[in-house]
Amino acid sequence: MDPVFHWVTRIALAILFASAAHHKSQDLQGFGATLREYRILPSRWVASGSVALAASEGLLALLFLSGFALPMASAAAVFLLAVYSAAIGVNLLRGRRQIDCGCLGPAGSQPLSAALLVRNAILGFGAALVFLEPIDRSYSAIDLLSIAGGTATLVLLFSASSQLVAQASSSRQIGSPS
Amino acid sequence: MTDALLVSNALLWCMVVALGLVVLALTRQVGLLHERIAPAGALAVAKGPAVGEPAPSMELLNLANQTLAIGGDDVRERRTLLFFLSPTCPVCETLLPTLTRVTREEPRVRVVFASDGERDEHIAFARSHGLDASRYVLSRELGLRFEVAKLPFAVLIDAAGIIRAKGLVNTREHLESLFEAQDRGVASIQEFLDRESPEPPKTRVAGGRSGR
Repeated sequence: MDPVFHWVTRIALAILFASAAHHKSQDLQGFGATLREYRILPSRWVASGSVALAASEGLLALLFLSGFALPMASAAAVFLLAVYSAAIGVNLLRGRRQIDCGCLGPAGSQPLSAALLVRNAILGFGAALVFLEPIDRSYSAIDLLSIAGGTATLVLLFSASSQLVAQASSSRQIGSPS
Repeated sequence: MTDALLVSNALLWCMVVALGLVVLALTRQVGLLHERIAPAGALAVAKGPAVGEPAPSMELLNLANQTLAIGGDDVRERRTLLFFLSPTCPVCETLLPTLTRVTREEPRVRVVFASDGERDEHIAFARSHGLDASRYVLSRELGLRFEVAKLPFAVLIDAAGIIRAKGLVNTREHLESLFEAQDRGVASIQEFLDRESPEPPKTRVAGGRSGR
């Protein structure tokens, strides 16, 4: 894979996981309550589960940024996203759409929807791309521009689309009979 | 040639990032608009005893082991705000300061906290949030009689024991809307909005934002 794509994906994923870990660690109690609502972990494991998830996201951000054990980080990120998708999928099947997905942190709540599964699949694809070694070639100034611009655009578009998904799901919830 | 490409590339990236920022700002604005146009009313649910009907009359045991009556005539002519909560519901906790203020400042409103589950857990919860144990009841039957499916849920009962307003409450405004609904003689803010505009747009029909 071209090093520009490799770096853009790596840095964007590092920013994403760092911000997710930051949200969770800011309000561990709130995240614990969200996790309990998923009704997957037994209640006595919820507190340690929320710390473990926040810590693993923080660790993934560090690994993506530093480049240390990158293939392992890539596999772990795909696994983590698959676990999230499974938890969302199970609750969608149970019909518990109204619970907060815990994706926006303490800033807001977002009900579950199939769009979150699509989002996680795209993120998982990105994380899997990091598994591929970048080809060896020399960098020029344009490459640095492409990496900086590409990463910034990706992060902005990701936040904007997350907000759109959250708004679409909550307005659907307002319109639907309870 | 390389310089020209470099400049054009830099310019393009600047514009793409600027466009990304604009898109993000626009989505935030859309979110703000959503919040503004959503009616700040408790979401009325068509379950349990209806507004205008007498509340189920029950004698319950509070956390201080005294009896507390729900429904029927209130001898002191107070309204009762029945607030269904759970110690594990974060939204319920955010409403507690407002409810304790209502208890303190409105002598004509009796706020009763209702839940079910482990008694010790509720005693600790009431103590940690400064809630009056004599106004806190644990009764599974009460929740079943009012058919409470989602929390936090509130029911406003007048001094004669008639249900005046009820609904899912997520914010202080939703709580206030219950009192407002009674003052205006409507069952819910949704009914009020329907009366105001005979053919309301679709998003306004159901009103209120649903709870977690």
